[in-house]
Amino acid sequence: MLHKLLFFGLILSCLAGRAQTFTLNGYIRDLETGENLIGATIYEPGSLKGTVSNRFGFYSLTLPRGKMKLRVSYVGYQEMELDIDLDRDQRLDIQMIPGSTLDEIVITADENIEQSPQMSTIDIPIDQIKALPVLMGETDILKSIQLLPGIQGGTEGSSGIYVRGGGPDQNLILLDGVPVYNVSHLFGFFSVFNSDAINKVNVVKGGFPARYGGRLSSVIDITMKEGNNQKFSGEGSIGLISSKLTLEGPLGKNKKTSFIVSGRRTYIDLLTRPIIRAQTDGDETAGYYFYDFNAKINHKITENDRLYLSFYNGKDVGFGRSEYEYSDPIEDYESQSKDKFGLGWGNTIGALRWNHIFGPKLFANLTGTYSKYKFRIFSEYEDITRSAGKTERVHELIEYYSGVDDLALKLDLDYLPSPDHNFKFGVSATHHEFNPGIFGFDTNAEGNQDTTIGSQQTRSVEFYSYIEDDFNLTPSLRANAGVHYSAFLVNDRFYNSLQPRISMRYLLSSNLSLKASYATMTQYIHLLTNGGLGLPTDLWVPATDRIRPQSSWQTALGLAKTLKGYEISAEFYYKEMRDLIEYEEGATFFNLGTDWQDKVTTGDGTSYGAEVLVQKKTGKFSGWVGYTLSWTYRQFPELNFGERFPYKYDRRHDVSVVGIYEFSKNFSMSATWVYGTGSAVTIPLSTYAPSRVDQNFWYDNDIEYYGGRNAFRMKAYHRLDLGLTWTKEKRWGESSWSVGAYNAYNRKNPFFIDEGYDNAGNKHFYQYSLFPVIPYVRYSFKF
Amino acid sequence: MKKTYNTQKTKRTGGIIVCLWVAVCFGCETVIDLDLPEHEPAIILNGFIHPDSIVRIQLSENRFILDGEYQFEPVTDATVNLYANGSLVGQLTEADEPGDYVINHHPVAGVDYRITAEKKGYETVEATEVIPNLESGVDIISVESKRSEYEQIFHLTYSIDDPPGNNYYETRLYKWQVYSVEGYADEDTSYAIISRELVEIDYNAVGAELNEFEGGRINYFFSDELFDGRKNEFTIEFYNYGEFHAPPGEEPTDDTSRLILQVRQVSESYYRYVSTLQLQSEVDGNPFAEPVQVYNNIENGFGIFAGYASDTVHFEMIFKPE
Repeated sequence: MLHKLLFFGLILSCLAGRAQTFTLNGYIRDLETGENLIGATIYEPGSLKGTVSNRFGFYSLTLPRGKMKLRVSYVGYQEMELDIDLDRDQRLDIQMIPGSTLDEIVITADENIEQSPQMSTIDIPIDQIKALPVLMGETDILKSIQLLPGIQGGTEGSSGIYVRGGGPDQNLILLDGVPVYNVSHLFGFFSVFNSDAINKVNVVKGGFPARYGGRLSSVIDITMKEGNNQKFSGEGSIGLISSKLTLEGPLGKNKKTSFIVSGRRTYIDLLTRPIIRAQTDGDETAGYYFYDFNAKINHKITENDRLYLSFYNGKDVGFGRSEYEYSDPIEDYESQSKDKFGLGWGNTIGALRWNHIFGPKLFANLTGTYSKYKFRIFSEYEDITRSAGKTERVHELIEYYSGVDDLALKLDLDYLPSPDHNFKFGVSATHHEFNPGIFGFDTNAEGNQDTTIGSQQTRSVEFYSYIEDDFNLTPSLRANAGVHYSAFLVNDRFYNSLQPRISMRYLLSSNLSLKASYATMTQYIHLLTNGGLGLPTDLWVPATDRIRPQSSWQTALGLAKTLKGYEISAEFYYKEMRDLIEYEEGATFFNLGTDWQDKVTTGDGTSYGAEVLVQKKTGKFSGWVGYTLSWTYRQFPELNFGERFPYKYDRRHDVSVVGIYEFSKNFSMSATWVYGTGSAVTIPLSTYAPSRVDQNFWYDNDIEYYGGRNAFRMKAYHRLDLGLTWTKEKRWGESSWSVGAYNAYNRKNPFFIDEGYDNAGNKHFYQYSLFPVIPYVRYSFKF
Repeated sequence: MKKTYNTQKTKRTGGIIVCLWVAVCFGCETVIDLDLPEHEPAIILNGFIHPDSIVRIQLSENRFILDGEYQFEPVTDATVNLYANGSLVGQLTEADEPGDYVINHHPVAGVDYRITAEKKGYETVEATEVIPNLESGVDIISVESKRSEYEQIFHLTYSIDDPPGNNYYETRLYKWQVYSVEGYADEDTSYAIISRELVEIDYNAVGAELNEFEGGRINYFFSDELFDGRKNEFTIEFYNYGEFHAPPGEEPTDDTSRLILQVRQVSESYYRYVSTLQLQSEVDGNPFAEPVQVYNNIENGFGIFAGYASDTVHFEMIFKPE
């Protein structure tokens, strides 16, 4: 297969029929830290022939023999111009100098958006993400992504991502190429990604290149830093609810190896535990915390070989314990009881990758990955009594757990035969193990019961291969076309799918292009979620012989333009989704004894709309303005009497304004304002009497009439967040204070609505809001 | 005793989850005036029709969701007409119970019935229904029993010969409840029967996918999705605690009771109404359950106008004391 693909590439490159050419290749990195620069542009200004570095910073550029100048640019870095005498294939590793974003003259963005055939794709500089005001001072990558057009957050404060009408399960969230199944801490209020350990965030919401697959709605590709290979350095922060620390540096004198470790932990439990103990005479304790730990080490074996080992572990833990003792020496009686409760969920991720440069035009990446998500809740009780010389012990354990384990191997190759072609192709195989909700009960009472009920553990194998080419058809017309083939084997049932993908751009002028894309996607896993709140109890489940895989097709048309440092894009999209799942009416996560397949129903979805994004990545003032106008519907034969209904997050208008202004090198201000049409909810509008004619009807309840599923709109959501940052140079590095406020004008945004009665017995609807104005303060340092 | 404790623990675990969840939701509660659509009073029409009885329906008025009342106002003085295959059968007259309307007409299976109800101040409501033809045959296959510590457990196996097409069923079990008074003994007996009533017996469908959170009467209703066009056997389980049942005219014996199995072939409207009604009732007050909409086939109003035809088979239950 590989040989055939290479041969195919060679034929295409030969067809180009050009004069003697040589290839320049190497890595583009940061001069000070050695970090790979992903998406840096290198081109020859005369012919405008160029290329872009891949996710490992590798580039390959084949040009005609001769002396020439090459220009290298990357957002936040000083543009470089290199004199090259290309008389043979050459290896050229480029180190770029980071610049102050205040200096607009020498700092450029990466490839202009009108040049790339890719559409519906957004990069957010990590520095912008870190500069934004946030909830409780916790920088949050996913919440920053929610501010982009076409991407919505779910309920107030949650990290849920809803892209172009898709569900929260339809996002392929990759950390160093490894899927992360649950991205939420603290029931969704914070995401699991520690921004100090992140190098790059890339979001694709349509026009998917063939290399991506397995989800319908988006790819959020997050790349960890690799570790400073020039000097030992660190950064950290102390916030209201958590602190974090990141250390990185070279290992050994030859700087062939570097590492990064980063940790974050909340400490509310450390403060509350002594208080609870004191109030209960030491009998009880309870708490809640979460932590993240990221680590990565990379080693340069040879000039052409590099190994990376990355690891992530994060967990949320809630616990409660109580112990009571009683003794009565007169009656010769003693008793001791222990009661424990625990709740925990988290991800563990590992990746071992080998980068190899086979030649100046061929780059390979072989990766083995492991991803695990587990949720567990338990309650344990032990009671020991001693009386009249006899000891009796009663023990009981009730637990529920769910999760998914993935083990995968994949090979990705980049082949760049000429500046007009950039082939990517590869294969992957993943072994999934799903535990979709198992309930266990163990007791020594009543004859030692040990029972496990719930859904069966399911194993499956997912396979995919792809090939894509980013190529120039004419100087104005460029395309990225490819095909993604995937297959899934579960319970002796085999599903497969061939998914064509294409995106094109046509240059209408030097800085204005027309873009179009079409992509089909297939997803072999589903997420069962009650109300879409993003709770850890949400269940990942596979397609089975009863539940088909989800699939979609999406097309988009748009314009892209760069104007005086502003990137402007406008897109129209239409997306259809098939075989989505939802809980049946009346179903709930809590009937644990029922197999999940008996609680779901399948149907379709449609989403369409328009998005506008004006983005400025560099300069004293940076940020973006995004607007989305969209319609999203679902249609399930067994829901809403088969009638089409609005999706819960059908949001007609969605606006986000994000601004960061650097007054000086030491002082900056940031603000975000968001507005969204209220979420669609199902609430009763009237009641009526049930039938009592000829029936021994046992239902005394009035019948509630809803007027349709999701027929009512909550009030609109809007919020202003403000932040100020003072930075000071220190002898040992740099320190900064950040203060700000989430929900600065104290908008009571709706979280959910419920019926209730006031003290006078009058019935009302009550709206529950989560966050009033919440100020924050954070101290950060860097050395 | 220990079993009770286990249940409490399970509840407490669920409670802790909810408490944790509430704890992290800082809980700003606000009473708000939602922009609800203006409430428009509408007629509720409820009525089940079947060939064994005259047509009787009820009319009442719906209530605004925030209305604090507890009763539904009956709609009186309405004009209610019944049509069969497009021809007027007659106007229903008000019965003793306010809001009840009757007509001395026994509906016929297979006929296209339409009912309209009209009153000033309301939109005229109407509904159509066809009582299913009773094409399915019902047979008793076996009645078996075994004793447990406390009661005698009966397994009744019966069959339904399902005709092709979508069909829906409800099965009910009845006994003749004998109400007697002791101490009025004549020379032969030690009690006197004062009344007998046909009452329903609860049963479990054996083999149905039941769990502790579901069940109830929803299992008395089923469609022929899994046995369309063929004969299928069903087994139900019920108990006898030592009671004796006998129809009028028969003396109760100390070992044999007469029971009646009624199999109703119900219309799709009937099936959808009772299924969704039961489900909405079950999840009432559960914030984690998906909302359930109750099926409604009344145009411009609410309620149900649905029909069924029924077949009954009699069988004996022989009591074997411990």
